[in-house]
Amino acid sequence: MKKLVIALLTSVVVSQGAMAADSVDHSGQASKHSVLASVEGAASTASVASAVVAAPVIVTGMSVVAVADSTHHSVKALHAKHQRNTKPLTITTRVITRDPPPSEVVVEQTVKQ
Amino acid sequence: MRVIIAVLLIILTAGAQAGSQTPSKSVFQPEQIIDFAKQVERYAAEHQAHAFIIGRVGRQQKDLPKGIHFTHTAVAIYSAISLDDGSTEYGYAIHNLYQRADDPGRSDIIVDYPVDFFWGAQTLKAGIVIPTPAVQERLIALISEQKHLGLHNPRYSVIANPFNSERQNCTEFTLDMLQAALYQTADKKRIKANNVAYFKPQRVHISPLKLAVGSMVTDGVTTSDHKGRVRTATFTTISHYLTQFNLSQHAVVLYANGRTQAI
Repeated sequence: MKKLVIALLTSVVVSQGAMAADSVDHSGQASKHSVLASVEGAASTASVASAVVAAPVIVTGMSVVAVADSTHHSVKALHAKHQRNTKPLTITTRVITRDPPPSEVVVEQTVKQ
Repeated sequence: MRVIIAVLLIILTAGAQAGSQTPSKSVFQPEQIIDFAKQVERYAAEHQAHAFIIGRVGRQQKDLPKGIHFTHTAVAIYSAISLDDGSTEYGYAIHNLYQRADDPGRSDIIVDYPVDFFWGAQTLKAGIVIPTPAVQERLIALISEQKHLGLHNPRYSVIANPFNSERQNCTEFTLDMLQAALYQTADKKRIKANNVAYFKPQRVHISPLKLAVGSMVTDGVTTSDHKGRVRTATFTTISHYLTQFNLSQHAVVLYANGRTQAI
């Protein structure tokens, strides 16, 4: 019995790490937003902003076309036009993040009052 | 003996609350994560990827079971991102299935951004699989029309069986999105049938005892959806699947020093 319990104990400890898979949502961590805010204050280049909504787009030549509410055929047509474009897609230099969790928003507002 | 049992109970209780669900704290400086996240975005943009499969490593390498190189997988879509200050910027939005930290047997579909995505990374390396343009088109159409949301099964298991709909993890959701896009279907039975027919999952090399104990201590681990050997979808097996059927345009591991390694 004692050996069985020890074996089980060992397995529990080992299995904690072995099965951890990290699909947990880190993006709502309260600490992350305050850290990013401090980075924005200290660094001259990092500008942090919260995203409201993201809409898929396709770059076709000189224009950027939103594909929301489009049919598959129009996405295909847009993408076909894009294939003639060999320039890298534009990536913002701003640091975009999800909004912080409600608990942090309330704390922030309380502090400001 | 009583002491051993007491310790066991404490660990079991703690495991039930935390286990694999404990959110990792960032082990890197914020500037390092920001730089790496931007590096990943620029790499994909240079390859003109409008849609790609992205993977991160959220555990220490030594803790990963044999054959598993990434711990989280999702789909990144090039997007116009409206910001809280009213402006619009261009970059990648990442469409994830995330396990709930406070309810490990459940998951949610969440859109986040590269800095969010890599915040919990334990190693600054990214898996990047850029599908062929035709597959990208179909993935963009699927997500633009929000049809991917219908593929979500909120019953989570870290070792979910991709051959049935009993449980789902982040990688299986990614695979299901790909299948739905490829076959242009929302029929889950058809998606699972095609997973069985064409997809080769990764065998999970963990002893049955550990799996049994894991399922005791957390709702996020179960073998109830498996018969025989435990197999699950991984970032690497999805990459191999796309390559096998000539649907992958570019597949690499990107490191923070700029080095790339072909998958």
